[in-house]
Amino acid sequence: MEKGYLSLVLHAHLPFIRHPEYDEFLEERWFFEALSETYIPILEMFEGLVRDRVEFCITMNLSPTLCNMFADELLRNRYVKHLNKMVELCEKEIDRNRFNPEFHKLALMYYHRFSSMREKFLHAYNKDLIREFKKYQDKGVLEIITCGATHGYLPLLGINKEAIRAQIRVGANSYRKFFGTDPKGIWLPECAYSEDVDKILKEEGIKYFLMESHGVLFSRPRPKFGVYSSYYTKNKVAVFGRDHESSKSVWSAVEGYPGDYDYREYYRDVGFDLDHDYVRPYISACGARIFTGIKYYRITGEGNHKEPYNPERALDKAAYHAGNFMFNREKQIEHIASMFDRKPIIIAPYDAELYGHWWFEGVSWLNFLIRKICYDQKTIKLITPSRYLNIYPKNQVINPAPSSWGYKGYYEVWLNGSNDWIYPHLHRAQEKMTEAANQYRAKGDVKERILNQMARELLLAQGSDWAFMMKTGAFSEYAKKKTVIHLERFYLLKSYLDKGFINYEVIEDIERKDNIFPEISYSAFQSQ
Amino acid sequence: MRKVSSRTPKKTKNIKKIIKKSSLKRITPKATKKKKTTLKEDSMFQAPVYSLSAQKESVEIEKVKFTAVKEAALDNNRYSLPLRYSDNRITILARDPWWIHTYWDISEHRINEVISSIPVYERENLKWILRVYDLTGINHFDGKNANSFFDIGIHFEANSWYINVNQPERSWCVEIGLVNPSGKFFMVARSNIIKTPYFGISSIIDEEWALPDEDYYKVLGIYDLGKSSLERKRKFEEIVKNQISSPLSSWGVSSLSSERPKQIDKFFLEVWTELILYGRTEPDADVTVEGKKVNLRPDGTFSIRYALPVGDYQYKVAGVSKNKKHKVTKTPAVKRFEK
Repeated sequence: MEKGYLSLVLHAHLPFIRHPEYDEFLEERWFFEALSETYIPILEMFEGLVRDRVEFCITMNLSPTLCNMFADELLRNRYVKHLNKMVELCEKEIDRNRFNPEFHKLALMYYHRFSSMREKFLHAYNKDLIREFKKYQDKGVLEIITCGATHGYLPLLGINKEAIRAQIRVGANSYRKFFGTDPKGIWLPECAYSEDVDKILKEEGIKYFLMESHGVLFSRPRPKFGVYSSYYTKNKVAVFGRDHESSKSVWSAVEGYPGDYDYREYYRDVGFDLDHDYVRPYISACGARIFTGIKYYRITGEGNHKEPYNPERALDKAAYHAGNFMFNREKQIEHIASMFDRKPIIIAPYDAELYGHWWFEGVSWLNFLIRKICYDQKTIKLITPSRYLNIYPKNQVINPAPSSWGYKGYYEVWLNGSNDWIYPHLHRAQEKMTEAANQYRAKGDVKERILNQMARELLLAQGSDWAFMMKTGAFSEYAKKKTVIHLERFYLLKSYLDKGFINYEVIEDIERKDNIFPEISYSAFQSQ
Repeated sequence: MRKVSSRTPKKTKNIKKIIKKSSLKRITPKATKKKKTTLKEDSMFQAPVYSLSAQKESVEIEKVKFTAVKEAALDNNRYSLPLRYSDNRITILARDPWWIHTYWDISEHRINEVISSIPVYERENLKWILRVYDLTGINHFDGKNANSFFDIGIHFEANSWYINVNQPERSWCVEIGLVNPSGKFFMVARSNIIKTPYFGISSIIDEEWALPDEDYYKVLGIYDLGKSSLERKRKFEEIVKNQISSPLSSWGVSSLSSERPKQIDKFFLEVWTELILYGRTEPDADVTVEGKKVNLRPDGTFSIRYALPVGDYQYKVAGVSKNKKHKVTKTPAVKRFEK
């Protein structure tokens, strides 16, 4: 009989980036890369686990923006185009490395990866990843949870309660549309929580949410079981806290597994290494070098010298690291369980894109871990938060501590000199949105259409990704543009509403570009 | 600005003078000089004037950290969102348990209104301040019933400020306003009320849900229990502080857009070689290199590139005519080495 539980939670999210107005758009590649390196490999892992009848369960957040991208025909077709190019590059690489055996082997590996992925995406999945993920949820091995509609940073938007409600409600409705059932849990964007968010979660029918460790540890009153149990907020929404230990061994760029010298080196990529003329068709349209995903080296060591990547050796290491992770969790559970009158739960949440994209072997590691937990030990058992709540429906009531999982544990990453200028704009737009939603209460006419599009634009401007990118500096120019462009579109639409002068062509154009949440109702922004 | 002045020419000018003077009054001479040049032909009512000299003054005020508005924020001017809303509002947001952020947007009209309500003899040397109220436990704030307050001198044009309140889990409200040398405060706008996030383990213990103190700290991973529970609490809070300051998620959050910190920034030089094998034959001939078929262009030419690492290589190129009657073989060889 198990002594405690481990809940693996993967947070899969990308901002909504889709530019039909361009033939090719650099930032759309993030989605394509994540598909090839993370989302499809995870599906393949599920497929293998189910085929081999491994007993397991795992929790995944598929953010509403990501689901809308999965469902988008334009992006699906562009992904196929992207895969075609990748296969073409792999073919060239096979030829080019013909007399270079160590690399030739790797070129073949990539060719196989990309061509079988294309085959699968087109024919097995019929380009529909949502259906695939849903399949595993229906089988009971995967619990999919939702997220704020566009990953808006709730504590900083929360000047207007309606803004929080709209993020939650539109996110939950999007989930219902895609998965045909109510979302049990929610991944609060960046795990950012502020007082009273739980009240809105309750109103929108959410049963549980996840927090950073100190969100639970610093809650009032003192939480009896630390982060190793569920709790209820006073509005009776369940809450779980992240375990720091299990996070560190995977997350930390220094001490974590992904930095092992046998693993693939992310930064050595043919997009940067090869002759410009040769890779030109496969890098950005303007000719700037970018990562292509074809990488031939392992981390090797601290210095610049890199040895060729050895997939077998890396896989062995992933298996070893999975064993190490499992062993540590067993010890942890044994220790904690001895002090508790209930079976503890370890919540181990990660960004999904860490697996496969940043840590190439990450999905294999996960695969080994899940299999080992099933076959090699008896101390821990995999569980999802909602199943834990079924076992322990009675929980201590706490007031969770406002916090986030960002650097320094609070809101600073999203509120500092590089990005604080966005909030005066966002807060005013939120207010205007609620005013308009209260005032018009339009139904079935063009005003409703305008209000719905205004809601989409505002939600898109609210995404926390833009503030994050401004802070890190990577792609900050693009992030600024996104924030401003969506707000500009918002005000343009609002002027149609206010002045009664309506340019239908412009509305159509905006709807075509920002086609997220086709089912949206602007009433999500109405005051209650 | 000119437009506004023409509406109420005299009054505005006077007010400008009053405040301008006052805002210059208490800064160091050096800063004053700079300030003058910044404000010369400008007005505080216009689009924000971001001046680095503002930082100098903030050094004097312990409670204030003015995060200089970076170039990044100025870039924003390129896009066409309103720079000002002039809706007479001041808003506060919590940044963490110790700091709050505030931004304000006050119309000229509102400033005029407040100033005209001040008796003329009290109008001299007005200075902009933020008054930060501690409202913990107070249900209805009437401007007078705060637990305590402190003031911060500001540059009105900065439009935003970071305030070190230094106390977690307390409620705050901020007013922006003018103060005269005798200390009389004239409120221009009042903010929303927020609470700073909690920090530290709660001392409130729910009896139904309690573990013995020693066990509790073991659950939290503290084995060196120290002498008192206060010591343990401190130790644990120290650990948490370290944990949240180590970037466990910062390269993963919004992960694809973020660049993982690259460890290597030493000088480097990489040199690789490739070999281009090219030639021509009849367009309908068959050509192979070391047994592998090569695609010919319509004019019968071909070109292939091979990675060329250190070593000895030969490339047996064979061409066979369409009717199979003619066969030509050529074998270029290369020795690649480092001197």
